[in-house]
Amino acid sequence: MTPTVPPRRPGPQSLVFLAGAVGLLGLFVVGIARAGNWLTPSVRLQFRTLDAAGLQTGMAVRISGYAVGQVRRILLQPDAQVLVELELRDPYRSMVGRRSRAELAQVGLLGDSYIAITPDPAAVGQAPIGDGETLVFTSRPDLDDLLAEVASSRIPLQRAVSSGLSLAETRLPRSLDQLDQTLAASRRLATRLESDAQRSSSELNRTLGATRQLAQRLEGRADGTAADLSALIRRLESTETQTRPLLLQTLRELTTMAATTNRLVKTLNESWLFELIDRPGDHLKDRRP
Amino acid sequence: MGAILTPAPMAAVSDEPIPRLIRRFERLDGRLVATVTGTGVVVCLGFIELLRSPLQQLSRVTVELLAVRALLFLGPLLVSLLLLLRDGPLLLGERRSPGTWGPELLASGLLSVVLLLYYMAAVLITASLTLNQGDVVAEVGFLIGKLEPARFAAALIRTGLYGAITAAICLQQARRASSGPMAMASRMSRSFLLGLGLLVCLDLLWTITVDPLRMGGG
Repeated sequence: MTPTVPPRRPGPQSLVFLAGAVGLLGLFVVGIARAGNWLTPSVRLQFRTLDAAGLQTGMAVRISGYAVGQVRRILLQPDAQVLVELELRDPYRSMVGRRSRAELAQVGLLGDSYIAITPDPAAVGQAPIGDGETLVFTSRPDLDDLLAEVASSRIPLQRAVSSGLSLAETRLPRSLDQLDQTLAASRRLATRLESDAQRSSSELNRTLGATRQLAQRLEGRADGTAADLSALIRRLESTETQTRPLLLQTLRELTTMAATTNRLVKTLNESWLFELIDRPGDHLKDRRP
Repeated sequence: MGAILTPAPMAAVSDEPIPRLIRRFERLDGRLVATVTGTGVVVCLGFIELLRSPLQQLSRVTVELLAVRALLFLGPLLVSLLLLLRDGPLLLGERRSPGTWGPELLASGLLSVVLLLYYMAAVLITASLTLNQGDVVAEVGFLIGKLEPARFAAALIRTGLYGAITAAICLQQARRASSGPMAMASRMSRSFLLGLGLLVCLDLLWTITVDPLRMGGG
C-alpha cells in the first residue's frame, strides 16, 4: 500500500511558468482578436461572383486603398456561384452605399490581392448600408481576353508601324535637310541681327547722351527764363500799382473833358451860326419883298 | 539533455488525481522551459536561414510568415517529444492500470500546451529580431495577428492530444513485466521511438486530411 502524501501546491517556479503561459495565451488571443477586428463593431456585407480565383479568406477589404475590413467566408453555392462574405468595420460603413461596387484588386504588379470597394458619395448623410446586404462585384478583365485583344490589334498595329517607318524613311531625310538649312539661315540672321543691334545700340547711346545734354541745357535755360519771368511779373505788378492812380485820374479828366466837349458841341449846334452855315439863302429870302 | 533525462523520483505517490496533477506540474521548471524556448529559437533560426539562403526568399515578411506558420505546424510534435524525454522516466517508473491514467494524460496534455506557448513565443520573437528593421514590438504584434485563429486553436488541441498520447505510450510501456536498469532504458527507448513514429503518422494524417479540409481552402 502506498503511503498518502498530503495535497500541496506546485512550487513557486512552476506557478510562475504557469502564469507566464496563461499570459502568453492571453497575449496571443488578444493579438489575434485585434488583427481579426473581433473587438470592434463591424457589419457583414456580401457579393456573388462566378469565379473564386484569387479570393482568399482573410484578405483585406479596402476603400480608396485604406484597409477597412477583411473577407470572412467564401462559400460555393448550389447554383455554382461563389458567395463571399466581407466584414466591414463600423466607422467606414457610411461610405458604402447601394451603388458601391466590389472588385478584386492588387497592390502593384506582384503585391497582395485585396477586395476594393468603391465608395458611394450619395450614401453620406443617408441611412447606412444594412447588415448582410449584397454588393455588386465587378470582375477583372480576364487575361485570356486581354491576350485575344492584343492579338487582334497586332496586325493593325504592325501596319501602322510599317507605314510610319516608310514615311519616316522617305520624309525624314528631306525634313532633316530642310531643318539644317533653316537652322543655318537662322544662324546667319541671328548674326546679322546681333551686329545691327550692336550698331543701333551705340547710336542709341549717343542719341540718348545728346538728348540728356539737351535736356540739361533746356533745364538750365528754363530755370533762367522762369527767374526772369518772375522778376518781370513782379516789376509789372509794381508798375501797375504805381500807374493805377494816374490812369484813374487821367480817365476821370478824360471823362470830364468829354462831358465838357459834349456840352460845347450841343451849344454850338443850337447856335444861329450853324444854321446860317447850313442854309445861306434862307437869310436872304427873308429880306426880299 | 541530462536535465531532460532526469530519473523519476521513486518516492511514494498518491493515487489521488489532484496530487498527481500537482506532482506533474511541479516538474515545469526553468530547465524545461529553457529547453523548449531554446529549441524554438534554434529551429526558427535554422528555418529562416533555409528560406533565405538556399530557397532565395527575399521578402522579409514572407520569410517571417513562412517560418512562423511552419513552426506552428511542427510545434506540437517537437514539444510533445521534449515532454516525453523529460517526463518519460517518471511515467515509466509507475505501473498503473489503464483506468487510472486520466490525471497523467490530462497533465501531459496541459503541460504540452503550456510548453507550446513558450515555444511559439520564442519563435515569434526570434523571427522578429532576426529580420526586423525597426519596431520589434510592432513586428511581434504583426506576426501574432497573422496567426490564424483556426490554426492556432488546432495547434493547441494537437499539442494537448500529442502530449496525452506520449504519456499513454509511456504508461503502457510501464506495464511491461521486465524490471532493472536495462529494461528501464529499453522501455524509454521504445517509448520514444513509438511516440515519434505515432506523432509523425498523426501529423501526416492531419496534413493530408484535416488541414486541407478545414483550413487549407480559401
